[in-house]
Amino acid sequence: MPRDRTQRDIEEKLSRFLKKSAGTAPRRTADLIATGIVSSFIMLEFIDWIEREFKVSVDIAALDPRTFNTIERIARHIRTWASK
Amino acid sequence: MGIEIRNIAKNEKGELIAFHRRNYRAGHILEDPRYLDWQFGEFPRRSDSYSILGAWSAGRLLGVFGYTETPYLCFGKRCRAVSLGHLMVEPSVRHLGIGALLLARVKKSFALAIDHGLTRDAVRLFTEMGFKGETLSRFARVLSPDAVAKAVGAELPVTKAELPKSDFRFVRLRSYDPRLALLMRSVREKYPITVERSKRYLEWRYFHHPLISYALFAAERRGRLHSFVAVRIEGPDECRAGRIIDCISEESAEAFPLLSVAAFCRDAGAHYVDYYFSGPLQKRALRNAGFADAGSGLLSLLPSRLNPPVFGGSNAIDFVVQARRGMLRRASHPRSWYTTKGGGDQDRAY
Repeated sequence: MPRDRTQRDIEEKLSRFLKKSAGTAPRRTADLIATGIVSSFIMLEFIDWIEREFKVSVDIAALDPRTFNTIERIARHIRTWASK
Repeated sequence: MGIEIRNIAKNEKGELIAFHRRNYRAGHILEDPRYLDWQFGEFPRRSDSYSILGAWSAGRLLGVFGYTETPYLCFGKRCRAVSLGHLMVEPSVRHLGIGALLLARVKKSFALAIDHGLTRDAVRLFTEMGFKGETLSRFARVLSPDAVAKAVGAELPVTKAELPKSDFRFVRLRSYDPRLALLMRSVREKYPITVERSKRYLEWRYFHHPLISYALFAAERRGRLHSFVAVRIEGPDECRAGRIIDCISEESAEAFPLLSVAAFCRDAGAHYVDYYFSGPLQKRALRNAGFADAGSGLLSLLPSRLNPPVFGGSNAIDFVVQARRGMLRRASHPRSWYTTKGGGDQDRAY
């Protein structure tokens, strides 16, 4: 992932993906899991897409659904993984 | 994604049971090693592994998905099908796609797949992954109006139907009868998609079940078998159900075994007979045998004696099917399937 990709850039990409796959463009702070926007199946596709799109490796077992549940938080995770 | 998906070996049984203990209610049948060995370790063949997929991460079991490979007949052809069992993911990693990962792996390996008794989340997962769902029909017949009225707090309709004069005999089967093979051959076309009830299957499923006692019957006439019925009695003494678990019959013999089963259930102390099944077959014969639709109305008050059903009401989806691309399109339509709801001896999700 290019180093200068901003939080806002990532959030926009995530939002576009969700609009296409889940049929809705949630707010950046909306809880994707609690609101049912992202099901287990969409999450699987989402994580797979994140790995390919941002060239990061996601360890599902290390994730906490409580902190991997909004566009804003997921974008932060991606920035952290990308900086490693 | 850091997740390894593989079948759980039998020598990992301790870890598997510990996982089930953590994630299901106390005393759940999935803690019972005899059940695990029977349901996931013996049919259609013995193996060193259970037909339970595990999702592992750094040696930690995060999720499981049990399934049983069951040969099916699909429009006259044998095919590899799978009956899906329990799907459970550790609460701390739920909603992250592990369930979908497990389902995708099982789905990939079989031409047909079927599941019963689904939670709301599961229905969403299955339908998003290409499954189609339908509600099973439920037919019932009240045998003891007083006992049932006391149990449900309402007087339920009672239908009387007597055994007509016929030259059928209702015989109890204590072991596999080779004539069943002829019966299954003669009804192949009647049931478009259903389990292949081979000797191996029937012995495993009913005759040699390690935990449940089934009463198995056939309608016999002139030395031939024309129907096969599996029933079991369940529930507390004050309101017991005779549950029909399987009913395969030639068209001409359908009402007779249903009437005879009702008589057996009454003698065995059941207060009503209950039957969940899919597809359009048998409804007329059931009505002739004194059964009525219990999917709605007063009869739906009868206790189900199944898993606590997650979906009540007539629009619920309680079974789903999926046919691999390339299979006949009609195979993916739930109405083509004849399946019944066993429940109870299978895994209890809650």
